[in-house]
Amino acid sequence: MKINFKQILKNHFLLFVFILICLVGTFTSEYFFTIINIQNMIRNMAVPGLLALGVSFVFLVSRIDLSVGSLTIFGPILAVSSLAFFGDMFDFKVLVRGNQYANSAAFIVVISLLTGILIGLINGIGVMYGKITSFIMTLAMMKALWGLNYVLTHGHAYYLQIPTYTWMGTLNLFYIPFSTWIYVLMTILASIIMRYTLVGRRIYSIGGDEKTARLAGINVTFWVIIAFIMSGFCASVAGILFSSRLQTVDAPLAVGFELTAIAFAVVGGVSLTGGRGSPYRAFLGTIVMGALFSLFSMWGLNTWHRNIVVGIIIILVVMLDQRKNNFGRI
Amino acid sequence: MNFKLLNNTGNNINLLILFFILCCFAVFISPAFLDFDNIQNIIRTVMVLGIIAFGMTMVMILGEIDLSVGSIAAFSCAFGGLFVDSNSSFIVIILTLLAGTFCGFLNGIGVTIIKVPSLIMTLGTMAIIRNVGYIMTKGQAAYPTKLEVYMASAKGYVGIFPIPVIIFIVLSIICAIFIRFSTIGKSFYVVGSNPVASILSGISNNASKIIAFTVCGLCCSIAGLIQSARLGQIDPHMGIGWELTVIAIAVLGGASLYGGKGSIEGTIIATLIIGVINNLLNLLGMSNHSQEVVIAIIIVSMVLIHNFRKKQSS
Repeated sequence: MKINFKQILKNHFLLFVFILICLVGTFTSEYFFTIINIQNMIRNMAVPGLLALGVSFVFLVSRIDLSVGSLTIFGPILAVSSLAFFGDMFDFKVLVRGNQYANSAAFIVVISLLTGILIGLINGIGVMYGKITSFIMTLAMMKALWGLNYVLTHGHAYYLQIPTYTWMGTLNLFYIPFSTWIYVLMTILASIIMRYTLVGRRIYSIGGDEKTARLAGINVTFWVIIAFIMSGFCASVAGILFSSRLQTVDAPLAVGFELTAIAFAVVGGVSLTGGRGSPYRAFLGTIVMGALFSLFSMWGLNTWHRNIVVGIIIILVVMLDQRKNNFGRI
Repeated sequence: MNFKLLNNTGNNINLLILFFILCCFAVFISPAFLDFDNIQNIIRTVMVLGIIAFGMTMVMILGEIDLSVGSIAAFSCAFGGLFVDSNSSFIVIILTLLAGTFCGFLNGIGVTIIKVPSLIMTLGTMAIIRNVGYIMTKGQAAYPTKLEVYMASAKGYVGIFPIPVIIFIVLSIICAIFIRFSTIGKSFYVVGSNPVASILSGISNNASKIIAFTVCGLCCSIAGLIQSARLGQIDPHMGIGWELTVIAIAVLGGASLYGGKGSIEGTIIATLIIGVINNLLNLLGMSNHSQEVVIAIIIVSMVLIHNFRKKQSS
């Protein structure tokens, strides 16, 4: 019985941390345990949580993806600006800025998702066929998309007050925000894929030992590209939810999201050296960090303090991870 | 070693040819390129990143990377800027340099003794150091315009030569001598290309890494100092996104992410090339943000060419 309890504590340690944070929040702030705050908390978890989910696929094949932050808003921006550009060919239009119009929400969603997949594909091809270190490839991609965001928007915001689009950001289903539903669904789907399908088995085997996987006849190139595509897809879903919540897309938004995403995944126990971690671990990291962020807001700490804590946590967790198994480098 | 020296020069000659081609192209596009003012401007603009690239080259020769360079530049200047009211350039400059050196030292300690991979360590310190700077200054800028020596570091002239250009030249000579001829500098190449062999031959890998990161921090604070003197404003928001351009310069100059390669001479030429490219894009009327895209494309294609060559030679 005792051993069983230890095992539970070990596997679900972060769940207890989450409960502890919630308890601390309840005792130190009267607003923490209100339905609005909890709704806000789980809604705010969705976007970085999706990014962390995507990044963890790439971590599992022992690569890194820094481009997710810029990609988050690049999807909607590219969709809106291309629709505004080609808008004359279609029938009905929606005002996005000044005298620029975009088409229906469905197009924006579809183009955003396709953009995410495409950028993930380019990252993957650069890393596998171009033999560029993933960190340089995605850093370059991050800066390129960051520049493109400004070029496409000319530094002004696009307004996305399309009813069919904004309901994704505002709607609550059974008191739970739509974004959270999407996030939880994606996590469950990802868990099933990683646990029960070929995709998951291949990705874990590559992360465990790439050379062995190659010798065992696994097409490493293909599966690493798939991991990058999954990361890009998650980032674009996050971008859709993010922009629908804010009802706007603007180039300076989403700066530094890659750091938050990496922090969430790493805190959950997704290893940077590959092979260890799962969508569930990323989810645990997300709820713990999300609750912590909410607590910080309750205490009146601002983004500056929060970023310092994120930085310290990343270093600490990786340090402990290195201590635990003293091998491997990124 | 001899062979490596030869190899490096070959790479540098290619870079020089690229540099002259770009210059000819720029003159062809706009005769204004050859104006003394324009050339001065190119060097003044790009030397800030060039100085950081010296530090980055050393770190990359060791096979590590430093993403926190922009944050260190901003933080160290902001730290010096807290003492602007003392009206003493000496105090401000010394404190700025000390802050930068200390941050670099912290990175070094983190990478060597705590054994966090440099990518994660500096990604973390990038956020920590910058936000400590924000909290320290409450996000407000300081104005060093009364400090004469401080301002002279960017705006002064000796004869017809601007002081920042002289600083750049002096620093590049010091760094080049340090890397080529000092024992520590030479040990960087050994540690970078084969860490196990270096330990076995009695070199302290940790000491080399700490020194390289510390020097990189010092370079960042010098660069930040010149940049804030140039703007007449010590802004804690300075240097966001510098790391990519600096890495681009170092990679263009022949440094490899896997360590053991790179030289200060290459970095100097690469700095000038990036300066000319930026200037060329300005002359063509492209916006700052599209230049970001161009630099990203350059860095990716440089790494691609490098990989292609390696494949061909092997």
